[in-house]
Amino acid sequence: MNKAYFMSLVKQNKKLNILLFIAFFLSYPFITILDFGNYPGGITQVMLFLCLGTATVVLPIYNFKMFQNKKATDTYFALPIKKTDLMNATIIYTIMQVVVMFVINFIVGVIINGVGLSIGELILYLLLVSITVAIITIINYFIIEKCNNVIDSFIILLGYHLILITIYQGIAQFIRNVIPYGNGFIRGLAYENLGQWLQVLNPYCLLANIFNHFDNLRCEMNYIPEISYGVLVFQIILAVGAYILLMKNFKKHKAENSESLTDNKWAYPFIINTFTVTIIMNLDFYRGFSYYFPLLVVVIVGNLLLTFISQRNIKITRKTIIFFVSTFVIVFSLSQLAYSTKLFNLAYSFEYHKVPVTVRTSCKTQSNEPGMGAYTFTDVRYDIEGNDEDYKALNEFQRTFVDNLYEDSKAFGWSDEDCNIDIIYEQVEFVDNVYGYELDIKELQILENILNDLGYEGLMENEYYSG
Amino acid sequence: MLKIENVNKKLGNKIVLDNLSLTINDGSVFGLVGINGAGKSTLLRCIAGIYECDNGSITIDDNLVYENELIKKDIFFVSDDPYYPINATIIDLKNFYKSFYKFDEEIYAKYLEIFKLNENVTIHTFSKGMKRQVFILMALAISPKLLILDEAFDGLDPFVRLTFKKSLIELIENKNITVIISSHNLRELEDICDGFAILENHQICTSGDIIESKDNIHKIQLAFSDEIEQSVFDGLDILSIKQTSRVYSIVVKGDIEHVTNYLNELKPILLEVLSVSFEELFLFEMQARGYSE
Repeated sequence: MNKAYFMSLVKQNKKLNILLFIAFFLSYPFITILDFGNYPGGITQVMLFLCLGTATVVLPIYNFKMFQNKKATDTYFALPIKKTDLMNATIIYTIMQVVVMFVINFIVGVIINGVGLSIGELILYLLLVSITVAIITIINYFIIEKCNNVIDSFIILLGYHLILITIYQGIAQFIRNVIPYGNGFIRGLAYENLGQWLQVLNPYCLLANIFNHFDNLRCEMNYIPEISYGVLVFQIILAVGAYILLMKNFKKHKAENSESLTDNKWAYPFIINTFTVTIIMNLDFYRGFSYYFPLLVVVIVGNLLLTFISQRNIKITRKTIIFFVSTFVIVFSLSQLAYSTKLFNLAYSFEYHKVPVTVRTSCKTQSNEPGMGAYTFTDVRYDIEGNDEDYKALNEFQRTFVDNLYEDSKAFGWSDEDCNIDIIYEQVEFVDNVYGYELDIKELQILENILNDLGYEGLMENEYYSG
Repeated sequence: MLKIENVNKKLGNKIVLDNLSLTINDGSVFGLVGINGAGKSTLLRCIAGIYECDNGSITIDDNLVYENELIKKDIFFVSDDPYYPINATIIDLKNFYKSFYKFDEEIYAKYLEIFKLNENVTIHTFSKGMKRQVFILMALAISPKLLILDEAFDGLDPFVRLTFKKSLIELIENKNITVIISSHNLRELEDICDGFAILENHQICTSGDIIESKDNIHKIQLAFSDEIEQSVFDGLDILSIKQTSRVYSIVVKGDIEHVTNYLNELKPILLEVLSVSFEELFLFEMQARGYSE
């Protein structure tokens, strides 16, 4: 890192840093001072997250703009400094800008509010935030480096962070479309699991998770965040990879491209093409043209809009049309193939985990008790910790059930006698582990018989009458 | 010695420099001229190590300039529209450059006084000419071995232009610096430059010593007692010819003795050799390459 350049950045941005300090101060501890007696804990979490989140987006774009401005590149690239030193100083400066402001205000807040953190816990907490900020900053610089102007930096940065959601959604919806509802396989791709996937891939989710575990940053904060260190290590590896590529790319960063339209294939083309493919993957081809037509319009309009933003001009080339049509045809063909092969037989690939399994049944039956209501509701729990035999038996039941779904195209709804079962593979993270079914009473009895034969007794959790 | 060898540079799909070669000796003041869009600024940015050449090399004393921090310590580039951080004062700029280059405080103080600039005022409040003075002040205080000035005299008042030229001459005498100046103000260049190059069609079309080149081009007025055919001048390297009745005004390239001997054989009643300015030299060269007035 070039110290002279680093110091010049410090001197140049005095006013901005004062502003940054005020923003962090307002987030924490100012809010706690303002409303000392009746302090809502969640606001500070949100404010701190927003402050750090905004700073890690805005500051890299702001600090990188001198490599995207024609006049500035004439100055900075003419200086007797290697490009990598320029970039290193800029990255470290940006991280310091955020971390220093956060650390000062956080320590002040902790002291003012008498937060019950030990020095070790405080250091660990500050370290976690600092590492996450560093990861985010490096990844954001890696993305911004591909852009030739500030506007594109904002759009591409936003695009990269949002595209993860569309990729997840595209894959998940594609699978949902080709497998009938109720199949266990798609549970792992449910919306509630999106956060887990994003947390692995997107460092902002990691940052959110750090703050998420603090209900109150005023006086009840006496434990360290429960974040997954595996995810943190993975994010660090991602950031190291991004840093190596950033340095390699920045060496080739051309001053002459400043202020021109961004033409890097990993910028707009990547975002637009990924957007197009993943949105097309959402189209449900089995529900008829009228169902997927509106989404098709959205993807075409979205594609045109993004193309216009990237080129500041609408220029539909033959290449664009060929890409669009071929994507549509490929996704449609894949969809047909996946449907006819039951998702390439993946839909049946239940795994045998040697983990505890909880089977919960909730049943609604006609009541025989006079004066107690028309229906009896019973919730029964089975705790299974057996051997491979148990898992195989359960799996066999699931297979049979799924087969019935495929063959009969059964649509479930509440009738007079309906039951729900949830088969939950406990202590399993990030994989498909909850299987929920709606059964009729006969199917439940089959499951109960299987479990009884294996030697398990159901534990009545709840019983009540209604209706 | 600055050596530019077979340099190619494309900006987008447009070829800007095509197999360009040029050598500039130490201690010279070199004028780079050319029509708008000829590639002067691109060449200067390549020399300053801002742009990387697609092919070829730019070396100073056999060391490549691009990404060479040691060599770049001796180069200072003043662009046609120099950058300064927003709200920066002259002192801020001085401190900025001081951290990268050797900085002569005495020269700084001297020219700050001469230019009558207030070092505590933010630069963005200055006029274009004053902003230019600020960067000339920095260039003089840094006194690099190679000073590159793009459109150097733009916006400067006559007093500052004169002071600047004097200070450059002083620097060259005292520190043997090399100066490369691009400008459309050829009269100013003529006063200060010893060498020059004309950039045309992505290449150097003419280069050399200004005085020698001027000595090699002659503007001659001729009058004849009878009208004569223009073809009689075919034996000369004519750059331009104008005829008004029996009076001819020709611009011719070559040894003056040979030219006058040739013309005297045509028995003119008047033969007058006029001096050629650098601006005329440039115009004649460009006209000879098909650019019309």
